[in-house]
Amino acid sequence: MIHVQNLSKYYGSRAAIQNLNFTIHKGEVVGFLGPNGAGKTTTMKMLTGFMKPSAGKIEIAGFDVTKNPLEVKKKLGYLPETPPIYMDMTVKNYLNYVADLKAVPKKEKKQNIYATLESLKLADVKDRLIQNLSKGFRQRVGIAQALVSNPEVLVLDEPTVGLDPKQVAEFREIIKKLKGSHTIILSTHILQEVQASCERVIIINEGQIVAQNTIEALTQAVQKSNTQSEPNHQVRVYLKVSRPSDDFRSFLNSQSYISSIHFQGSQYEIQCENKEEHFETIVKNVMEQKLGFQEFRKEQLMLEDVFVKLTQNVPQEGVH
Amino acid sequence: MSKAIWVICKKELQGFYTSPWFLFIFAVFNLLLCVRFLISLDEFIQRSMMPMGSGVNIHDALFIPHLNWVYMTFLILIPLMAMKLISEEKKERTMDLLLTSPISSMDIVLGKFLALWLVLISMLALAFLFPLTTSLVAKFDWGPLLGSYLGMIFLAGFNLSLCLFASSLTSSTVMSGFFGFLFILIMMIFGSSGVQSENMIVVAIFEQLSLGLHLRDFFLGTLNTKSFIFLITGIGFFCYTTYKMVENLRWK
Repeated sequence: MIHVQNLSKYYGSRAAIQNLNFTIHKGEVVGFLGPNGAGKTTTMKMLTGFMKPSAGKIEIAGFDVTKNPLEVKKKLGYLPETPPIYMDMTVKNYLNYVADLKAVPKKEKKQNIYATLESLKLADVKDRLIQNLSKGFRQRVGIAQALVSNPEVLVLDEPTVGLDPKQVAEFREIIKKLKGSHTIILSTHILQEVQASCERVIIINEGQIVAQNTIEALTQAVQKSNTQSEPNHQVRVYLKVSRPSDDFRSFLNSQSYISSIHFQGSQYEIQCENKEEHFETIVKNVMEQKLGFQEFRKEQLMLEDVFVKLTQNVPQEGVH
Repeated sequence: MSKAIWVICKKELQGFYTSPWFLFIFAVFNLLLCVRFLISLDEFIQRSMMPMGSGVNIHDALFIPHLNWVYMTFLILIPLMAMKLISEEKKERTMDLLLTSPISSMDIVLGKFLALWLVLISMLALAFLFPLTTSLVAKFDWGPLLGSYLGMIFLAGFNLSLCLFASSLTSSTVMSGFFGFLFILIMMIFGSSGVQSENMIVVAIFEQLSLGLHLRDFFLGTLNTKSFIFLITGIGFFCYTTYKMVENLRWK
């Protein structure tokens, strides 16, 4: 559906984007992740035919963006960082205008508008001026604007900024509903967003792709590379007991594989080597001393760690 | 005509006619026209009652001052009304929507131009009601009058294209209004001061650039083809430069 080849963008001699290559299949939801200033928005702008690439090729739904921009734009819904809304229009008039701009056939227009108003829960405010709406509502109107032409491809740049947690959850539901029928690129720096809605993630840093894969595969790959590169890799574990004792504390202190202990209330936060036999020893000791075992939990490697690792270091082997 | 032009034009027209701010201006404009017309009418009656007054022409004494007044208000109104057209789209980032929609930059420019031109024509139509009602009680020659109004339509269009171009230069509404006003002022100063030069070509060029001269021609009822060619070329030129400015936003 979306095919990007050797995409580059230079501002003078400075490269904003360098040699991006990725393919997104029909119906996929892909997260475009990167720290601020990594080139996410630049890439989105080039995908939507708003900005001309310095080099490379973008193909959307079989059309080249630079050669056939009008065809591509008909198939595209785009939510820029700042929602492009007119303050002096009512929500319904605005959506009607956008549908006209996107050349939605008259027969489908009315139905599209109502469906969009329904799915984004905007029906109640459809006759209100956008300037009188709260920021969350305005953001939703922005999303509605991208959806109203029922486009095959949706490009959303930071779509959940300004939404409250309930609205964020609702937005994720919408994405879930669209999954399969629409191809969606979701650019964000919020990791939970990607974890919640996307199947695949493309991580970019300083204008280059540092990783692209499913979220599980990425976490696993980083975990593996962690244990390979540092055999004594440390993890954080949490241990909760009902009757903490000083004996147990001194036992923990005496273990060589534990580098630090933090004790609070009835919970121990332990930094230790990531080896199963060590975990076993600790738990066994809790049982023997009858401390009243409650919980033992190893901190999971989250997308966040992957992200931090990838955007700090040079591209890694085995992650691509 | 491309359908997209009409989409843009319709949106702009809706914006004008649903804005209380604009309706207020529209009302004030109308009020001023009424007052001005009554003053001219009074003067005209007094002059025609004087012994020598039989030679006073209703076109010169009544309609021309009236139309002149319309033109003067337009000089202020056009920059004010046109300043938002493109600059605000840039400021509010709604340009992103237009530029990622399947429409060309020319559609955007022409749609906006057409919308405000129609608004100005509607204001001229309102002004035309005055001679129209006068025709119920007096007989006069329609030729020069219609010629004057036709000329005014194109003059307004020319000034509008100048201000549209000004609006594409900046994302600040105030600056765009200021530029628009400045451009119109420059065009007015051209020729109106009467350029003194040995070179006849220079004089001729400045004469053609002078909007006041064209206006005078229209008022005299002489439909000068040169004037129309000048104004239409001007409109085309400034719409094209505006188009270039918009196109420039696209491929940054």
